[in-house]
Amino acid sequence: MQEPIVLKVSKTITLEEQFNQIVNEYKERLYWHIRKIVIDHDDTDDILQETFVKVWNNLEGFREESSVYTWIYRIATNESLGFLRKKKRRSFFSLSNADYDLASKLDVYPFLEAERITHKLQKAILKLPTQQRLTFNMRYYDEMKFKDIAQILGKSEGAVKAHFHHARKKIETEMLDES
Amino acid sequence: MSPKKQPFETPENYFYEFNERLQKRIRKERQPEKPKVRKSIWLYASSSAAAAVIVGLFITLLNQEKKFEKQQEALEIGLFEEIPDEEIINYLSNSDVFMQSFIQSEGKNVDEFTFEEYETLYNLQYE
Repeated sequence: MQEPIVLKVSKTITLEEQFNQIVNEYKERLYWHIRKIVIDHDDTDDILQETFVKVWNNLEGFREESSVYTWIYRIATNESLGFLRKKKRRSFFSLSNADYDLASKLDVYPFLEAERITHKLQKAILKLPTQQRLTFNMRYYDEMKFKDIAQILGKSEGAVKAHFHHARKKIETEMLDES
Repeated sequence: MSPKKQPFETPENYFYEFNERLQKRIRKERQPEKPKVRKSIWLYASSSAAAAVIVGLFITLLNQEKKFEKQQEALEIGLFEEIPDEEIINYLSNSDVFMQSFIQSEGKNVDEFTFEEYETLYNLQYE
């Protein structure tokens, strides 16, 4: 994975400049990170904005114990999971669940024949438990270090490695079964 | 190693326009409760004014009704004062079947009764 430019909050520039730098550096990565969790573009856009609003509101008091990079990813992940929890609560009486909705949303987006494998992979990923899904996406697509993933999810490095291992096995089985 | 291709697409110019939309949202969130406070002040003021109008109307209507009742009473007293005693006796004896029959049972003519006699009889009857 390409090393993030902004790793620590600099004290030589204004807060607003720091914020703009963070937005420009992370907006695209965070968009894809959130999008793979909630699937829908509009939901992703809303969560991404909310994430940056939270970053802005807390930037001044940010302690440099962790890097900005893992801190922002953690906010984005929590916002996305919070969004899914709310959706699940709302669909409690509608005989469907949020996971089912995510899978059906996936079918709404047109995939070319050449992207059939990508579509299949996404469907298999959506069948994973949340922690495994998050770990797999961050490791496979964003090529993050296990150490960083562990920090973002608030788990131990060993637990995250185990999540990734189980996720990969399940996806392999799913893909082979489907073909 | 090149980064993996993302599995979805974004609308055109999405990332280009994102910063502007984010700034707008932050500006909107920065504006604190002021409009809300103003709104609530107006809300309290208008509801108090409406309540005052309603109470005022109620009191006015109540006073008018009392005034009307007093006027009616004065009018009735005035009208009765103008009516001669005989006419009242006649009216009462004609309208009150019981009194009429009582006067007749005494073997007297209604026309011969003075107002005082009538009153005494009436009191005797209804005491």
